[in-house]
Amino acid sequence: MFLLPAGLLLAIFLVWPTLQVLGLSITDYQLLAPGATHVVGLANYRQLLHDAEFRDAVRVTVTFALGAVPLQASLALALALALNLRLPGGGILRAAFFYPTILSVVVAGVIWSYLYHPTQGMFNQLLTGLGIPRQPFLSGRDQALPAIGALAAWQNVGFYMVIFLAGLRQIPTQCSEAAALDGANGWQQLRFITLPLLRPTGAFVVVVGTIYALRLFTEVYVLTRGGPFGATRTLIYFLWEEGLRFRHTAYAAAAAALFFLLVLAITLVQRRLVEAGAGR
Amino acid sequence: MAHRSQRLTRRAFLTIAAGTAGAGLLAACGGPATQTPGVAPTTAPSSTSAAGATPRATASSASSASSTVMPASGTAFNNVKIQAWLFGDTGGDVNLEAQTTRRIVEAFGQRYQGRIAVDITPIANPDTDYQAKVQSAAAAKQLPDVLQLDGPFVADYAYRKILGPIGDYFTPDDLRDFVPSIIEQGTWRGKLWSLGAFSSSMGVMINQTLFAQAGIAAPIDIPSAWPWPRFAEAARRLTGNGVRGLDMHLDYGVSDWFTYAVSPFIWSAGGDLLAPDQSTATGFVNGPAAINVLTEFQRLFKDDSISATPDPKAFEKGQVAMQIIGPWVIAGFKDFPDLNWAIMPLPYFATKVSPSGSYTWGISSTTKNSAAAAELLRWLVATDSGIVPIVETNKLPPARRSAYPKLPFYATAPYALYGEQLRQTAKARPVTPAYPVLTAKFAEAVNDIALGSPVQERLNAVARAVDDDIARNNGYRS
Repeated sequence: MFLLPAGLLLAIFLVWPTLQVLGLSITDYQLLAPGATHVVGLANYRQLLHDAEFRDAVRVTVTFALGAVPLQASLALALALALNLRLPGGGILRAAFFYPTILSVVVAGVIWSYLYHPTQGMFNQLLTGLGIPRQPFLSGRDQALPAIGALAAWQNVGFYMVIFLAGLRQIPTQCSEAAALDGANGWQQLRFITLPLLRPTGAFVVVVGTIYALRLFTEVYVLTRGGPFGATRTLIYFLWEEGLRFRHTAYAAAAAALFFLLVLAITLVQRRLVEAGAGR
Repeated sequence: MAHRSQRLTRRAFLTIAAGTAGAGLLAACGGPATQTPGVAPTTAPSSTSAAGATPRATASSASSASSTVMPASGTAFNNVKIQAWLFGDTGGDVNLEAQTTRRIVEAFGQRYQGRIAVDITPIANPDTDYQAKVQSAAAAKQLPDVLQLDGPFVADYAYRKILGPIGDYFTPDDLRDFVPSIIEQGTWRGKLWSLGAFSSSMGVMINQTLFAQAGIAAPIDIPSAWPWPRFAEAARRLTGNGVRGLDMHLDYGVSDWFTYAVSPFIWSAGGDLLAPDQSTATGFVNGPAAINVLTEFQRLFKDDSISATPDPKAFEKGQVAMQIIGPWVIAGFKDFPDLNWAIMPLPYFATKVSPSGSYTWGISSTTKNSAAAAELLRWLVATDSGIVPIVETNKLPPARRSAYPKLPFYATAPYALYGEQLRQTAKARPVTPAYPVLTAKFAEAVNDIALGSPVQERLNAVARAVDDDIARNNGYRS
């Protein structure tokens, strides 16, 4: 009974649209197209599996997640550990590191597009100042995705850092004190006390970070529009382009269903791994 | 003309893009049922007697400015309210144009005070946000009465029943006054769906100082235009000492600009982007002419005669000798007093062809006030009330012949050449509902080819995507 309000909202805004997406995905519906809609079974799914662009989008998305999540999590952890030393000026640094998180992704993207500008951007001016040749960054086949990864890291690390900090502050100081009395040095305290106790926080950061990385879109939309050579066409960008720009609604719905399965599978595997680790 | 909209500064306005996109998806989920046009604009325009007024206005357009589009009977409209959506003020070059467009609509409201009131909604970013907004509104059956749109999207809007036909609101005399490529841009399946106040063209701007240093004389009119090999050779000869021969403005980003800028050369080489019956792109967008043209361009990129990462103001700064571009950049030249420039016609492969088309106007299929909407539409594309003020602002070539005598600067260099090309060699981009897919995929391919992608393979992918879209829509037959 008490669940009713929340359950109703979830049903209207989550369950029902999800079912509709699944329903659409087995039709040939196109947004605003005249003519009747037909049920076509799994045709959209079959076509997706043979669509080179879709396969590339899966590859790009997974590659990005594999690179971005460890990078962001480890940087965030390092920053949190450093700030947890409670050095003078820590508060200011914490605010500074957190600041990019509150920026709109679009604003951050526009700022970084200036930094990456091939001729007038700050990065290339720094490089040429150091005698290193100019880099294409966003127009380079191998550089575009890492360039977007750098922006995403800059924006997200502060957020994960704050979560790690909260986790660190929750670790009872008695543990470290006891370890110190037993003669553990700083490294040993970190390795055998802090990190194991921080494990649930780390698991949270990795799971959330993975989900965020898998749904990368805005940075791509602002900076590269999926290019060059499709090197930054993520799954969500593919979805947006097919579904809203090209109005291949049913096809995009099928892609969304597969994306849902992908995220679900990865999340389940991660949870299993975390639980297995915690049970040790 | 989305190509003018693709500026870095523009991207700040994409903030709502994700939100709009989300709304569009929800809207999409909401209505898989067949679309039925609400109220077809069947109201005979003659009933308002307004249609009768227009030809008189055009016939006597030279005599008096006040004769423009006046309804014969002022009592025909009694406080009718209509909605108009315009491309918003999004900064940059298009800034002034958006403001002027708004003033033109407001002037209509003043002229028709007490009879027709226009509720104006400016919408930022004509490129993608506007599309999303129009789509969601169409799905929710909340379209405005009159809307601005980018020319090559007319067939798409007509196919999806966003627009209603407008041919009945204009007399044959009126329509003959428009340049052919504007009628071509607005016509799909034998019906007229949109008209614009201005079109566009593209020429080669040359830096006369650099040309003189290299000892090259440029052609000045269409009959003396350079064939491609002569042009490419000049681009190579002018490259060196920190100067590049040519700029194609890749800094505009992957957008309709690439389709706009490259397709005239494919037409010139005897090719096209689509089959004449629009049933397939295979053999056309990846046909011999397209491959030849893009290979030629790629060669210029490869030997660095064109920069793939240009400075947006490279021409103004004297860093390139030629740029292929339209008149919209001229206003910015006032900041570069040392620039000594001139205009030459587009080079050609086999025949002389130039691009055309731009922002245009249509009436929604669901309007309940078609007579009042038609009145506004006629105002927007009439020489005195619509064309003169906007062309004085954006300097794009007028869409009607009768407007040229009233805009004397279009008889002088550099504008004269754009106007001549528009009247003599202009062609519209393919008028097909597959255009959104075609231009997105083709522009992406042009960008990749400029950066070194294999031409044939890349164009094959474009053909596949377009043919997939056509198949998915049953050949756009319904």
